[in-house]
Amino acid sequence: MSLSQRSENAILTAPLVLFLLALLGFPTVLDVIYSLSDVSFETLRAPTFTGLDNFRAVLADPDFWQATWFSLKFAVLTSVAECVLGLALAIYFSPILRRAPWMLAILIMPMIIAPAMMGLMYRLVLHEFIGPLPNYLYNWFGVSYGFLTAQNVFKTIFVIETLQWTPFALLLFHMAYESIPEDIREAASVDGTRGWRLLTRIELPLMLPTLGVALFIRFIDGFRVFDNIWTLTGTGPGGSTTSLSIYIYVAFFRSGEIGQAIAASMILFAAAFLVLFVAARRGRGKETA
Amino acid sequence: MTTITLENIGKRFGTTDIFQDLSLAMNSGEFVVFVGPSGCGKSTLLRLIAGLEDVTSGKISIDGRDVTHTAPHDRGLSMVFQSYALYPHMTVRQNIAFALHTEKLPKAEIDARVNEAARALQIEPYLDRKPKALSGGQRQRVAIGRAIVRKPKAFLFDEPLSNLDAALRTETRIEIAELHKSLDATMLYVTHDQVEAMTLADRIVVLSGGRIMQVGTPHELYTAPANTFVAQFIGSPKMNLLPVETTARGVELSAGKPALPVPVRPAVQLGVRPEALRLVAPEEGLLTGKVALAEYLGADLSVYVDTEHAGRVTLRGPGTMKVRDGETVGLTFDISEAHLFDANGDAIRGEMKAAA
Repeated sequence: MSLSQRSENAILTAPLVLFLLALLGFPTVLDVIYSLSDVSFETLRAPTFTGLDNFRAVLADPDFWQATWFSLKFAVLTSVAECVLGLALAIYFSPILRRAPWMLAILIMPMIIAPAMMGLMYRLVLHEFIGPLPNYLYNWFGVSYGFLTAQNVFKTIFVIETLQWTPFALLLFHMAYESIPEDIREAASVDGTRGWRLLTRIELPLMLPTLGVALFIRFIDGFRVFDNIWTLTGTGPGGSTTSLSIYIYVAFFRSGEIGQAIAASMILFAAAFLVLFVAARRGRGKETA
Repeated sequence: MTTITLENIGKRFGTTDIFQDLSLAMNSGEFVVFVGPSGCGKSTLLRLIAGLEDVTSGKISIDGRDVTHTAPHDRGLSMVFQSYALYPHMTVRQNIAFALHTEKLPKAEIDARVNEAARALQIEPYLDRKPKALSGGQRQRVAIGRAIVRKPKAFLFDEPLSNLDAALRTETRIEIAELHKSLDATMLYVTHDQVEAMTLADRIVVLSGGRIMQVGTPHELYTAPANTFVAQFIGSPKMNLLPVETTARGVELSAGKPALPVPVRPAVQLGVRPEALRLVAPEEGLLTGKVALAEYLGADLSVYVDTEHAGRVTLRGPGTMKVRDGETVGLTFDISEAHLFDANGDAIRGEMKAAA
């Protein structure tokens, strides 16, 4: 009367598999079809198959490469800046946070603001004509600085992103720093290991896994950046703040190049998959070593 | 050679006094064991000596130098932690050599010291492994190796054997004793296990509630405990304490049995070790009672006897002894083996002069 283990497994996992097929499988198949077709909002139900034309068009589009370069640069710079700052702050604040853990809540406050709100807020604060910051800079210091001009806008969004997400790195590093066993520090202090040597030879190596995770998460978050930039500058002066996500959005909704937009996102997906695959394999290799 | 002196040490955590006015001197080359139940302050005492905690009052000197406010690494001591506290990201060799690199010793010197320690502790085969890949006993040796190579003035051990299984604990205990002999170093050792204390120590410091109950050689603690706490803490099974009355005739067991000579101070308890008790016919015993349970341990037999006047009494005899559960038996002991304690639990000694 009892089913075999195998069919029992099949029955029990069936709902999950169906759910995943419906929610992930269907859009994926649709994406593959659209990326290989000439399709617009009018022809959503009757796309014309055009082979790899969309991919060729995307790869030949200098805007695509500019957007990719922008996202890559933005992701690398912000993730590194956030992690370095977060680590330094976590170590610097650790004596205070150990005594007053509630201070952490204040330090991570920027994280709870929606990135889109962040963009809107800075759009007001930094606005050339009505923004208080340029105004006071000029009135008090005589400095006339265009935060959102083509040559400065990258620095501006870099600072905004870093300000908002350094607390995230701080939070991770704070927990990693506090979870280093106290007796290891005590053993080091009896040995005479102190200060810089304690940090670089004992504490940092023990926090290395967290450093990797934090860099990875912040890199992904930076690479896919959309909302704060979109609300602050849109595609930016001369397309200077077009991230890959913004490129895809504009291609899809503004230009109606649905096939091209989806082809671009497929390329992004393939690249992300490759990176994750390699990272996961290396991570697993490390564990078994 | 190193002497360590504690003078009038006080330590307070918040509003809780751990120690008040504790003084102790440890001689050069001595193996001193701090023993006591959990919460007695023995680990705190070791950490104060190591410099991991600051004293609230008093003075600590090492070789006559005042180190009360000296950082841990300037005290020249090595410590072996209960959890071993090995650096998990370093190999065994790196773990042992790390402190020497910190001291910036020449490379050849470091290699020589590490190899010497590895040979002495028989950890050569796994010098290139990480601590994760070692068993508890092996980690323990690495921790000891890390302490040895620094050639410290003294070694501090904080319950180093408590994470090992019973067989390994006995083995490692013997190795630590041999290590002490071969290094001839001052060692301070914290444990809650009186067997470790008895077997390892030159001198034992028994602590309870932050106070020193007695300091002495294992033999002194066993044969002449200063109070009921030490009497019952040292020795297994623990010493029997029997209520007694001190009258004009002397000290009598409540049953009105033969009296012991009159002591200077009135005794209220009489202590007798399980191994000093003998089983006799009921009418010959100083005490009589029924056998409640006998535990056979091979070489020994522990007999629990419910007596009429003194409650449950433990007797330890040879494994060849025969008793039946529920049997009525008499218990007797040599007067010279009895310990008398006053109302405060302090031992009364040297007062039993008159012959019985």
